[in-house]
Amino acid sequence: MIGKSARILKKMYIMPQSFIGFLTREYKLLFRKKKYLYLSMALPVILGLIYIFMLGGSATSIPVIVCDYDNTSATRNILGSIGDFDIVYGSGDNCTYELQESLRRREFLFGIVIGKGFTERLDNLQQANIDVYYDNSEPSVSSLVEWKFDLALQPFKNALVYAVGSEIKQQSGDAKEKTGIALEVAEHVGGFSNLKIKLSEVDEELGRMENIDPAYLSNPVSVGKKGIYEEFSIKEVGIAPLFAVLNLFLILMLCSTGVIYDRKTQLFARIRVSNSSFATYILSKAVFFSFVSVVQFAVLFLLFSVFGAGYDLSLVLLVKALLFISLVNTFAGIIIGLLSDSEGVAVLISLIITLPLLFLSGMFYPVDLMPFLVRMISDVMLLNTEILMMKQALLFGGVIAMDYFIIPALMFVISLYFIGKK
Amino acid sequence: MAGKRIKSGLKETVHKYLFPKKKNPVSARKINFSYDKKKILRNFSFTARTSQIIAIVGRSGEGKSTFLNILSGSLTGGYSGKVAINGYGKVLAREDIGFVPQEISIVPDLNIEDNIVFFGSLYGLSRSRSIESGKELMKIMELDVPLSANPAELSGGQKVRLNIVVSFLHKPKVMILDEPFVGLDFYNRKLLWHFLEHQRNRRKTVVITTHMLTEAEIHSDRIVLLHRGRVFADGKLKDICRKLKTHFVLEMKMGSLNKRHKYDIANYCVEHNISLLDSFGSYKMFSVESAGQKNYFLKFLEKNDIKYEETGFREPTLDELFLKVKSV
Repeated sequence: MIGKSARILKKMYIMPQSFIGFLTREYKLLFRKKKYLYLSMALPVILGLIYIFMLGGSATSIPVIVCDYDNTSATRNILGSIGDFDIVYGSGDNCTYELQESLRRREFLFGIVIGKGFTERLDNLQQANIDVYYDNSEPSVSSLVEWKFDLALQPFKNALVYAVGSEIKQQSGDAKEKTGIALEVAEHVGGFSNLKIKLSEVDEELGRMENIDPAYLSNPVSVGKKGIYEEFSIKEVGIAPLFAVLNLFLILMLCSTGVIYDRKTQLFARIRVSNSSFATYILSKAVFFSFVSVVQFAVLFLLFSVFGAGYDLSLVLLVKALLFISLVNTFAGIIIGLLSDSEGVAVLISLIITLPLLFLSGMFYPVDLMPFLVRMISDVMLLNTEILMMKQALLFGGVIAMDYFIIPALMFVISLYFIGKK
Repeated sequence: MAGKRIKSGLKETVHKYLFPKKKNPVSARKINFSYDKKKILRNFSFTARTSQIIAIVGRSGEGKSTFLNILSGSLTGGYSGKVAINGYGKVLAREDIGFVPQEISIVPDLNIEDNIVFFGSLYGLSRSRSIESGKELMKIMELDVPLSANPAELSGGQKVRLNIVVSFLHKPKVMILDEPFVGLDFYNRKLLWHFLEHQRNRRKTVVITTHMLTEAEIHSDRIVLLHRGRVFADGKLKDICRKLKTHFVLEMKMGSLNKRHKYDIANYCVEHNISLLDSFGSYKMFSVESAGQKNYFLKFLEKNDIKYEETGFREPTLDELFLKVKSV
C-alpha cells in the first residue's frame, strides 16, 4: 500500500519534469528544423505584406487596347479621361480580330471597341455602346471588368448627363420666359381664362425643369456607405481574419506533421512504457503551439502597426482569443496527425480543412449572401468564431464567454482517445 | 464463528504486510492475444527472477514481440491475462521497466545530449542526472562519440547502442529488449551481450527476443521457446533437447535414392522417432536420440543397400533444434 502510494506521488512529481522535457524537445526541434522555423515566421510577414499592399496600395496602370472606329474628338476625350488605363490604339479593318488575338496572347487585360456612329448617337441623345473584351477564362478579371469600366467611365457619363441636364435647364428657362410673356399678354387682354390656366400649368412645369439637378439625371438615388466602425480602415480590420486563417493553416500543418514524426520515431511506444503520459504530451504541444501563435500574432501586429494600423486592444480578450485559437488548432492538428498515415496525407487533410474554411470565412465574399446550406456550414465553422474573437480583442471589445473553452476541452479528450488507440 | 474468521483474516493481512512474499520481478499469467482473428498468444504464462537473462526465441509471427510489448506496457489493450512487474500493475511498474523497441526510436533531429536529456525527462530525471547516467551507459557500451554528435552521424551499431542507452537511463530493474541484435556485426553483438551480462551481475532481470540462437544459448540463463503462441520449451539447451527428444544430429551424404528407398527411410524414421531436419541435394541431417539409435539407423541403410557417407555426429545447436520445432 505504502509502495503504491509512493509510486503514485512519484508519478505526479515526474509530470512537470516530463512536461518541460516535451516542451524543450519541441523548441529544439523547431530550431533544428530551420525550414519549419522560417516558414512559421516568414509566412505572417509575407501574407501581411501582400494583404497591406493588395488593399492599401495603388494599382499600376492597366494595359488596354482600343479599336476606335468612330475616331472623333468625343471618343478621344472619353478614352483620355479614363485614369489607370495604359491605352494602345489599334487600327485597320481587322482591328477587332487583332484585339482579340492580343488578349489571348495576354498582352492586354482589356480591349475596347467603339463602333461607328457612337458620337452621333450621343449627339442625338440616344444610348451609345462600348464593347469591352476580356479573357473570360480568368474568374478574377470577369468579376473585375464591369466594375472597373463602370468606375472608369463614370466621370465621362457624368459629364454627358451634366451637359444634357444643363441644356434642359437652359431650354426650360428660355421656354419659361416665353410662357411668362404669354401670361402677361393674357392678363392685359382679359378673358381667356382657360388659356391662362393652361399657361400657368406649363409655366409651373417649366419652372421644375429649370431647377432640375443634373446629378439627379445621372444617379437619382445615391448610396452613402456609413461603416458603423468608421474609425477602422481596411488595414485594421484585416488582421483578424488574416491571423485566424494563417494560424489555422500553419498550426494544422506543423502540429499534424509533428505528430506523424513522433509516431515514426516510435515516441508513443516510449511514452507508453515511461513514467510520463499522453496527456502531458498533448498539453505540452498545446502550450508550445500557443507560444508559436503568440509569436505569429506579434509579427503580424507589428507589421500592421508599422503600416499605420491602430488598435483598441483589450489584453484579456486577446489572451482568451489567442488561447482559444491555438488550442483548437493544435488539438485539430493532433487529431489529423493521429488519423493520417504519412506527412503527405496530413498536409493534404490540413489543406482540405483550411481551403474551404477560407471561402466560408467571409474573408472574400460575405457569408450572408451565400445559399442557406453554405451559411449553415459557415456558422458552425470555428474559423468564423475565431475571427470574431480576434475582432473583439483588437477592435470593438465585448465578451468572450468561457463556455467556448468547452470545445478545446472536448478536442483534448478526443485527441487523448485517438492517441490511446495508436 | 464470524469473529474467528475476521480475526484470522486480520492476522493474515497484517502478516502479509509485515512479511511480504518475495515476488518475481516479472510475472505474466495466462496471456491471450489475437490479431485479425488469429490467436497469437494462447494462455501464455511466464515468470523471471532477478539476475537472469532470458531469451525468448521462436519463428517470426509466433508472438515474441507481442509478448514483450504486453510485458513492457507498450501494448495496453486487446489482450487478457495479468502482468506484474515487481508486484505492480502496468501503470505503477513503469519506473522499473526499461524497454528497447525493435526499431531505433531516438529523435533523429536532436543531438545525443538532447536525446539523453529528453528521454531522461520521461522518467523524471533532471538534466544533470540524465547526462551522468547516459555517459555511464555510453562508457559501458563503448559508445565513444561526442554528446554533440547527431544520430545521423552514427553507424548502425552505434545507433542501436544509443537506442539502448536512452532506454536504460533510469536504471530499470527489468530490461526488456526486442530483437536488439538485428543488423549488428559480431563485434557489436558481443558488446551488447557483455552489456547484458554486466546488467545481470547487477541483479537486473533481462528479457530479450532474438533470432541469434547460438549466441542466446551461450549467453542466456534460460531460453523460452515459443511455438504456436505457447511455451514449447523453457530452460537450458539440454532441457529443450530432452523435450524434443533430440540429443544428437547425424549428418550424412547419401547416394541417389529411388522412390522405394525414400519410402523405406521415411517409414523407418516415423517408426523410430527420427526426424529429417534438413535436406539439400545429397546432404541430409537427422535428429536422433542416442548413439545406439544412430547405429541401428545406419544398419538399416546398409541392409537396404542405400549408399551413404557419414559426415558428422554431434550434439545439436539451438538453431538445429529450431528446425525440429518447425516440424512438430
